[in-house]
Amino acid sequence: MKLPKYPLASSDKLQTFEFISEGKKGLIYKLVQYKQTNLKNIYNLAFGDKDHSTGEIDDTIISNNGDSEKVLSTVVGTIYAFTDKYPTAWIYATGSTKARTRLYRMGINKYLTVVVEDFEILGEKNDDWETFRKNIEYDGFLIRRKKKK
Amino acid sequence: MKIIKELKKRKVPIVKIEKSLNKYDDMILFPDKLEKANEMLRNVGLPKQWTKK
Repeated sequence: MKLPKYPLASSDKLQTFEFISEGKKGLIYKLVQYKQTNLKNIYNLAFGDKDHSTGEIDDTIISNNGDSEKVLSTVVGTIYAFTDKYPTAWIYATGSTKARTRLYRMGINKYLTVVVEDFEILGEKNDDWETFRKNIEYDGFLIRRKKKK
Repeated sequence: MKIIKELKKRKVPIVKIEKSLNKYDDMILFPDKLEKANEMLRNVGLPKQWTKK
């Protein structure tokens, strides 16, 4: 994806990433974490704001820093980095609220042609999975990297 | 200039390894989200599309 992204820092295992959002409200530290679920090789993707002074983390806060596209693009960058290290991992993502899930869906919609070159995406709907289609409301998403040919 | 163009074209970003982030790998930073994911796995299960052999 050729969209602007923020520089990324990561833990050794590439399971926790950090970047700094720069916008109208100043600098906001963001943390992205890939945490294994109860099932092996299925990871939950979550991200939120980190209070740089207290270290406290909040994934419900609406930052309104005016850079949501750049933030989403940076999070997509972490998916590339994570799946480069863990190419067989499946990643589950959902928003902390319906509105946030909708924002993710819109992000996927917008860059779907680019994203599907490298990833397979399923949408969670009515307690089932279907191949991601544009303009359908989903409860969550499951992503995996396409095998390199 | 060529290097800058190449860097801009990369899909996999360059990531700086920051040792201070290692401590977070052993922590669950977003417990509600993880619980939601585990609940989804219990209720919805794995996709047939990806598990059929």
